[in-house]
Amino acid sequence: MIRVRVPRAALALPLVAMIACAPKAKTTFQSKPEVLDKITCVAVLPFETLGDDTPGAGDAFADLLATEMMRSGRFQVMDRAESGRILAARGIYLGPTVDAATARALGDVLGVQAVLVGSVSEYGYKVSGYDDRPPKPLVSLTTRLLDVKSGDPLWGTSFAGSPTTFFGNPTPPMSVAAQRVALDVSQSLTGASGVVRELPGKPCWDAKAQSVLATLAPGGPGRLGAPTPAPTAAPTAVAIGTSQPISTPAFIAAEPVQKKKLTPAQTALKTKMAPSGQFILEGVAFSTPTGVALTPVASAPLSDLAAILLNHPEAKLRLEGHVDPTDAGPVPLSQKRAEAVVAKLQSLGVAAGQVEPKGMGGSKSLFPSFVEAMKAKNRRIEIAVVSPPVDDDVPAVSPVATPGATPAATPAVVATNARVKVLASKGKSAQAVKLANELKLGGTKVTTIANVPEARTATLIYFTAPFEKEAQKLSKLIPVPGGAKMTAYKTLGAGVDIVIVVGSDLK
Amino acid sequence: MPIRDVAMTGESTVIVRWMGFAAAVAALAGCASVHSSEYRASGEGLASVKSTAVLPLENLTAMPDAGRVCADVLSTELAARNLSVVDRGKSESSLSSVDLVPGATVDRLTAMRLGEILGVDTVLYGSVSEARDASPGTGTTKATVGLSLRLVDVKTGAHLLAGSYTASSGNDSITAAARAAAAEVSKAVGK
Repeated sequence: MIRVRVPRAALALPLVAMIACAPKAKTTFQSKPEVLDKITCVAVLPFETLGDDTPGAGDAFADLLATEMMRSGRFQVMDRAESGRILAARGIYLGPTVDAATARALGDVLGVQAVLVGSVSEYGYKVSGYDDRPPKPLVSLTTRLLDVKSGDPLWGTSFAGSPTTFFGNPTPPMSVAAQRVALDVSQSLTGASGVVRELPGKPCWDAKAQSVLATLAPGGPGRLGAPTPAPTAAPTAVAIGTSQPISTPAFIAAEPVQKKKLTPAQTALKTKMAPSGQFILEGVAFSTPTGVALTPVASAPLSDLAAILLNHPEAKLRLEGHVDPTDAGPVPLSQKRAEAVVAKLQSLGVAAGQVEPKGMGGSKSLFPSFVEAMKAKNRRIEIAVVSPPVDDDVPAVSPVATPGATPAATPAVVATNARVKVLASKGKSAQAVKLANELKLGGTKVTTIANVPEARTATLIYFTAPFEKEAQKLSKLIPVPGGAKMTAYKTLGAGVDIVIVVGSDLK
Repeated sequence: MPIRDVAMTGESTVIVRWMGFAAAVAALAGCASVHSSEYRASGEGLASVKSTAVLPLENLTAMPDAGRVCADVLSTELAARNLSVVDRGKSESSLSSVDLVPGATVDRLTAMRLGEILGVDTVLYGSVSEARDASPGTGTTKATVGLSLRLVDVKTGAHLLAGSYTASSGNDSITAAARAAAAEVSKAVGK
């Protein structure tokens, strides 16, 4: 749980605080209002779920938002279930970022005028700074509407916060809070989008969808367990229906990066990045107590950090800025400092999605602020590991001592909710993403998809003892000769029950 | 590309459709309250619905089988409102004909296809995003269910109904909360 510190003044005067002190919950931009005015046919793509609050948060929020957009009467809306199905049926698998080139191609595939993309980073109950206060639902997300003609964003918003409630009820259910945020976001979009028009009842994208419907004949679709018909298109970065190649291959997960050998210092830093780990990034300091300029010394640890992140595109870190509680404006200062570090990392080539800045203010000071030397120790950058770098030797856990002899523990019940991680060996990104999407569509909880750098010939399944039956089921489903080979492990890390390593035998 | 930064003020228009103030009071005593937001197609569509099938909802929660529990109570509530509802066993087993398991994502196209197979004029499908016994740490004992539902016309492919429903039940039963949400949906669809 994230602890949100509330200033004492806000407790004394909650109303004033809401108006004057609390940061704005929402920031919105819009461009090209004349284009946005004409858009009535929108597809909501499956929202990405960032962080680990609620595994289905992106899907859940995208559903709520689609409902509100339909209710507004301003748009005809393809919801994320349908856009996900159509993309899967076309053999298209979206990478984490939808850029302009992808958006342009999606318009042709989905038959809509604009696509709404987004991610949900917080979705759950959070404890406030005072233990006797009940936790409250918190929703954080970003979303933007991309024009499929130009690929340009027409509107976008970031929302972070707890929606205020009607009668001061301290804890509305999570879903009510999320519904209110969805309404707020939808109103912000429709408010930016001009007049309401008469909309036909029939979906505007139906001409495109019909051909997909045809593939859903009984026994028809080419997903796991069913005979696979010739795909309408290979899962490559080519726009369906056009012969134009898309310049940026955002449809498929990136190929494994060419790894550089890490220096001992870099290796030491990397080993600190354990799952859910948190540590101080040593050597990163700022020139003045109140400024955001980094000292020259800071460039060494930051280039070490950048080297690791470039080698491990699957790793995600939160860079937390901490200042001394006596510093003026601790929260904005710490935020700016975290952003300065992130900007420096990005200038070294690190992808924006890998590093997230967060200002922690002075709430977690390490030392009392008696003397300047102690204050200086409180001013620091901490790293919180959101997703750790996947070790080259995958998975980095020790097998059960005698595999096959006696399972570590005989499960009392057969688990039905295995959390599955899919890893792509060298050159198998597209197959891994495809497999993961098929498993997801079939109801399996796929938590992570990542690349491992080395080549593997055989597709493997690692499982923890309680999930043996699930693993067997998966082994039979994966279309490789003889089924995927299974190995039992004591543990596969937090939040993972089964790991599938996709090898070159999966075509 | 010029991007105009527009600081939108948070409009706090909240659509709370309490089942009457009396129900809200009664909720404290152990009954259920529903917070819903609905799109209903204009025209005759909803009024002319004669038959429907309820597919297992996609389960986005940690509770096993939440999607099936909700589909069960939705079926019952709709059948109690003079609609012809396909038996839940039959609608669930129809999933296998398009190679899905209960709890998987169901979309409009899949629902239309299954509607044809089951011989109904509408299909109700969607997702369950919250199913919990009580809000953690609050000391309240309200079970909560959050649903996103869609009713699709099998022939035209148009959505007749799309709604978000959150229901809380005072007696700590997730099923009771699901029933409250289902009752709200069936008011829109039923006769």
